[in-house]
Amino acid sequence: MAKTVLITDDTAFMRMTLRNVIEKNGYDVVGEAGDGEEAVSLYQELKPDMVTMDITMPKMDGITAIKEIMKIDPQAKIIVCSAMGQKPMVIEALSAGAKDFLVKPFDAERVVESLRKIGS
Amino acid sequence: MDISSFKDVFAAEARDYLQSLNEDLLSFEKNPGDKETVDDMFRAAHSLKGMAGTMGFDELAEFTHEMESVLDLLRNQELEPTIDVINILFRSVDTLEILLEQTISEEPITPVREQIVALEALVRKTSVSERPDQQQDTAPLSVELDEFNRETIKQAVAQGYVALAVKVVLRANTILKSVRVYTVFQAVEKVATVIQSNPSVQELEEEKFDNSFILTILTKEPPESIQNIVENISEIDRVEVAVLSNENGKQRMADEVETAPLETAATKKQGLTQTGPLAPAPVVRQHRPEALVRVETERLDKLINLVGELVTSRTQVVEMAKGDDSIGALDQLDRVTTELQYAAMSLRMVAIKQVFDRFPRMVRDLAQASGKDIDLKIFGEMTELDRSIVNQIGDPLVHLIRNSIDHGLEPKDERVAKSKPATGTITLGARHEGSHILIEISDDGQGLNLEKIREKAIERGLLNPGHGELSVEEAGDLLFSPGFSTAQAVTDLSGRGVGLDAVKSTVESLSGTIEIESEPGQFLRTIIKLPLTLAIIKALLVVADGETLAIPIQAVRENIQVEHSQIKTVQQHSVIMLRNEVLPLYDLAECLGFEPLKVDGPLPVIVVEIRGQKVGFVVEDLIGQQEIVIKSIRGILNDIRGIAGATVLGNGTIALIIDNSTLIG
Repeated sequence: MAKTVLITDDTAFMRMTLRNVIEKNGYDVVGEAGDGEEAVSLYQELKPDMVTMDITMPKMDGITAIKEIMKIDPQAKIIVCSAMGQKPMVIEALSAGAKDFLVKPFDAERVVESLRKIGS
Repeated sequence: MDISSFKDVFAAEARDYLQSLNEDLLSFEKNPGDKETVDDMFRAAHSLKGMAGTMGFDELAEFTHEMESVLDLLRNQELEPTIDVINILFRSVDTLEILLEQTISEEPITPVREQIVALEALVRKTSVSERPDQQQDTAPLSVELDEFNRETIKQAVAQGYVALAVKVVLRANTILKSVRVYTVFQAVEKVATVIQSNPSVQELEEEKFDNSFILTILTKEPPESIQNIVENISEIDRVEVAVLSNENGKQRMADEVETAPLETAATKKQGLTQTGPLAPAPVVRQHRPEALVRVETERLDKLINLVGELVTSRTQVVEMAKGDDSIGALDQLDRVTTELQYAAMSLRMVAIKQVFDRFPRMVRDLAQASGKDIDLKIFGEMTELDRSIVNQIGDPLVHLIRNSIDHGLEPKDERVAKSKPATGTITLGARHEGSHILIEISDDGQGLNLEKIREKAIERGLLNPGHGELSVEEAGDLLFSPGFSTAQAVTDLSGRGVGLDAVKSTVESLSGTIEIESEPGQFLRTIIKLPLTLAIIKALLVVADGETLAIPIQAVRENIQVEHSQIKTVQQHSVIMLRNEVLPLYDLAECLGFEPLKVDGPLPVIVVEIRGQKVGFVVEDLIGQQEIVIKSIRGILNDIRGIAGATVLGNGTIALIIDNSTLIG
């Protein structure tokens, strides 16, 4: 069965491009969250195999969301997505439990590599 | 990846961000201490950058990156929000808008270098002092273990550990190398202890290495397992693992170590292990309505059309079932479809906010240009009305507001001399009234100058010389007549002598009316009254030459019965006297090219107001008032004089809808 992915980003556009890449490569996008709060609640509901997590978001930022999800499921596989110049945040996210990171603008191959390696 | 198909979504969302940048900037200017606003703006610029980068819109990405840098400085209070800074940001938003539209429409991009330089200058101003001295020390290339580590290894081996050298080569295009190194450390440290790193941890953090580094680790895991763990990290080109000989602690791979060329970039130091405390999660204002879905307007129109058809066939079915047992079940169908109809209609409704939103910025700019202090007050911006009306009402409002700024509000000193507040106030508001929406634009300026309007009207031949004093109403009517302008000088803003009549005709084309109220010297208020929707209207159904026709109720003033004996002929045209006014009569059937009416008895006449003039239409019969769903007529039947569209009635027959304004004359 295809691995399931939850996409988290506050822009519909980014969610759409990610979904496009992810689905083309045989993964199943089971949900999209527009902010951290939504990601946490969708994670509980959908129990996805993997999560992509934007950092800068309204309501609840990605780092807080990663911490919350790790509390719920210490085995959660989260890929943090950042823009250039967010290095300290990425490190914070990784130490909070994110398993890998992606830098925008996304390179499709990198997205797939990340999913493959994290998902294995 | 192929993302060209996402361009529409990109465009829509990018425009939203631009709008919110504009709004935030305005409120930031008023309240520069507000951190939430800056955070909001930063996020908007940041998101735009990410989106533009993904679309491959490099110019846009570069530009938003510069804006983001400035906003970041503001956010961290490293840059003072002076008026200069704010003005540069305003101009940047304008530039961004042009850039965005050019990018979306694939027009050639206007160079934005100048604006980028202005933004960069802001960033440079603050960052010069912070730039760390360039360090010129060289990375230690020795892979030799020091005495301490050699001793550590000896002891660890005695306890069953193995010492390994792990050479990790990152892919050449790795982004954020230091963070990638961090993930390697994270993974390795789960199963091993890192006792040495070449280059040093600090140099790795500062990205002062080429693409490879060597870790010396102690572990109980077999070398293959370590190899696997590291290989399973992203962006790793290759991994070599070697067991260190425990006799001398020398690495066997020493000969493979490359000379790591120094990166001289003066990147800001950012510790891997000692990252600064994160800013607390920002509290976000909820100005963006949640849970919105973007739908193509065409699909909405189709849905509404179908609902219209459903409603019609429901009426047919209900009529057929009258007196039948099934009427009970049909009650339910009736109720549900009615509700469905209202729900579908509500999809067409949008808040007038989307029109009002552009005005704070416009008023700010015009106020600056005219040297007047102006306070714009907006109310009722969430008032909803039909999307098609919203799309067309923007320009008339722009015109009226410009008029208020240019002609209405007096210059500052003049206001003070009149003991008015130095700051002029323009109020823009909307509210519902029955099945109408009222939009009101008022200013506390000089109001209508009745005398000047009278003189001008006489000069233009709109009034007879020697015409007496004007009432406010008359003056208002004159202002809206074609070719009238009282502007003393043609300015950049308005006053080219066209406009107010165009405003009026736009409003009338939306089945609306426009009125002026004024107290000379005190205020001017313009009230636009529009129907909530153009899709459903109330109409009076009449019969002419056997055809059922619908006359929009808006224009209907009254219905009367006329005896043949009352009809007189003036200049070969039939008229009657109605309350001491001459009312021209037309045969509706004849106007539409049908067979003229021939009846002996009293004639039903519908009195309709067309362009301020009352006329009577003689009809064959009067059916009554009904709500009808307007269907436009397309193709070759488009633009028939006197016909605005058609509708399907409850009994299934089609009725043409009369367009009063083009029916006669």
